Amino acid sequence: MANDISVGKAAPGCKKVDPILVADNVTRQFGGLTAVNVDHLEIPRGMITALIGPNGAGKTTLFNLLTGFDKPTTGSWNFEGKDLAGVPSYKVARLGMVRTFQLTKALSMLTVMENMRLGAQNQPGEGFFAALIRPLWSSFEAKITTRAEDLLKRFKLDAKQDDFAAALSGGQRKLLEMARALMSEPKLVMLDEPMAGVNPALTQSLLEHIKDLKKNGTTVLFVEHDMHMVRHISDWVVVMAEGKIVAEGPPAIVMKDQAVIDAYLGAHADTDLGTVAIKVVKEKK
Amino acid sequence: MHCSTRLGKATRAVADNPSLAAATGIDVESIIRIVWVVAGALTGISGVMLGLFVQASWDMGFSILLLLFAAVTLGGLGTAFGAAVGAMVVGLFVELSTLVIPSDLKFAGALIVLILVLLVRPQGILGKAQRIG
Amino acid sequence: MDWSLVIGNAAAELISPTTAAYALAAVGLAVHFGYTGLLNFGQAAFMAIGAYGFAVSVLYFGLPFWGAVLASLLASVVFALILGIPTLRLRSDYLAIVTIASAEILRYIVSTTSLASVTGGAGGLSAFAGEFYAMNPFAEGTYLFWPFDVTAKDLWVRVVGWSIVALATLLVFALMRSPWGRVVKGIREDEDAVRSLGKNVYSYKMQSLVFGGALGTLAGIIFILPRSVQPGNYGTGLTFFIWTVMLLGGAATILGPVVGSMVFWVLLSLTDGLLQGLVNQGVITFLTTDQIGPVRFILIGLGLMALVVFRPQGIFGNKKELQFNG
Repeated sequence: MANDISVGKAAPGCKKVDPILVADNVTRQFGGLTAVNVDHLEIPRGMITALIGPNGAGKTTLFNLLTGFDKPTTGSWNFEGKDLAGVPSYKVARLGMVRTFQLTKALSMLTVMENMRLGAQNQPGEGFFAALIRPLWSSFEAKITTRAEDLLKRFKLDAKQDDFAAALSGGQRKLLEMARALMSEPKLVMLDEPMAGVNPALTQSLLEHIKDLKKNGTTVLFVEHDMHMVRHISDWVVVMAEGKIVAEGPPAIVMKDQAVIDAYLGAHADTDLGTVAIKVVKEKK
Repeated sequence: MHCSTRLGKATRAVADNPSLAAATGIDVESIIRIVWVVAGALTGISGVMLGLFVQASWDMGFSILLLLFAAVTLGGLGTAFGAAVGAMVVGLFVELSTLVIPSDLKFAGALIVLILVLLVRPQGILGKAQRIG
Repeated sequence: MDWSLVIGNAAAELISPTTAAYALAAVGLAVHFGYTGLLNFGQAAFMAIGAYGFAVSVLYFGLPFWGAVLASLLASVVFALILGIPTLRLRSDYLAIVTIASAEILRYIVSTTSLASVTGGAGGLSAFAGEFYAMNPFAEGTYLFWPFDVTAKDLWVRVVGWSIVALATLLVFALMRSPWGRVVKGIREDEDAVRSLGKNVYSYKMQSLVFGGALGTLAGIIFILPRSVQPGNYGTGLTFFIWTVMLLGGAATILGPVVGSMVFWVLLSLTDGLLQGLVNQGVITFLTTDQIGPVRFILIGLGLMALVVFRPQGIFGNKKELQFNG
């Protein structure tokens, strides 16, 4: 099926019209287990791409590999044309590829505002000697504080800005981590299960934030299990299972793919799960 | 014992992830206690042997403490065989080094080996690379 | 029992240069452990580098006072690099092992008879502080008041020592409130989170190791100015005293190391005076005066254990801020 994201037909490992990230032959083995075995993957620029798949499919491992938090067994990938294989995680972040974590890493012993300020890059005061001379960094600090306040207002965390992050609820920490990731104005934001543990009311506002990212020209890649969310906001879906990419394409097409339904979505993906559970129990009897 | 008994498995579980081990029903506090007692007993026996071989003094433990660190690190943290192998290598190295360096510096030689091992192969001879963080 | 002597001796410890040296070494250790979460069990080695670096530079190489101080600081930086390069990318336990090991290596090197011509071997070094005392602006005589009455020489050492402690404390205060301090506090809690924000965690840990080590080296120099350099002083006992001082005051607090050092030395002196008096008066019959010294150190050991168990945040620390995971 023709679309304006991929070059040619949508298929696992297909080329994209305007890729921001291109990965080749990425594998990761843990002893005898192959966690990731991706032949070719391209992430389209300026779009929201969802990475879905059953638990243990290798999605978070792939995230870790691409962002430098893990070393691949084989593989090479480049971001905006820059070769990233073997580049340490902090350098990847500086190049504009920022990630969040499945288990939030909000720094609980710092205040919300301090967490946000930490997210900014190129603050001269972060150098040892410059830190001792306040005038060298105080104006930059004021700038990033303003940017942080804006972001916090958008994410509705501004009331909490002087509280320690430990005082926030789980969902609020997720928001903080997302807001913090945006402080450096990244080109590609990689969200690892942003909706996990978040209540439905908050989910709606998170979806709006992610759509806003696309409006600002940021590329988004996220891992999720919530199919409604994936269907609602993603432009492109990549399905992984057992370390390999098994399907790619626009959400409507991919979710109708029989292989994907069998492996992952379940035969009753479109029905309200409440009725399905009762039906299944009755059938078993 | 470490590899094949239930106690050994439980010990490795606690070492890896105490909260998860507790969630599967392992009594973490009791395992830790047992490990301390067994390790202490083995060390006590080694102290007796050392006292018989060299001399018993109040600070004898301290003087070989760092050689123990070197032996365990060289052999590989997390493997009992590694500790034995490391101990033999360190012992030989320390005594043979006196051919080249003054004898009151022989322990310093072993400690320098420790630092070099950490530079080159932090998991030691028999250790696994995933355990070094 | 002469109470005025016991209390006088104890009070004099409040401003003694040894107290200042311990306070400064504890500030260095607070930078390592309190603020960055690095497990440095070799602060005695940094102090030994200060002590021996200074004395050897003056006596063997004939350097002037400031040259000797610079040489010691340079040696300290090199030492921190040697410790940090292999270990800061690994689990925190490895830094602990390497720091204990290198402190012992250093002790062996400075005690060995083969290098005695440079280091003085087991006998140590003395008579290196002449140029320092020549800079003394105070004229001969006695200064201050009971129980702090001191000679001009003593006053000079105390003024210099405590000024450096004050400066170091201010420096650490300024650093920790700066963006640099923010990164380091983040590292203490979660290195991966900080890496994901684009900071070179390894470099920050190294900077912290070098800075805290430099403070330890300066502490070593202050330590030896009023006395001679004895290799036996720089064993792991010294490291654990510094840890006690730091934990007593509060690991990540500004006044903690200073107050911790003062409390430590006052208590040490008090127990010495009290035990001496009680033994001499026959109130305590199961100890002799020779045994008092070691008994005090048993008490310190027990005190440190109790501190870690019952009040790990120390005098000024905030219990919520505690972080003991590696």
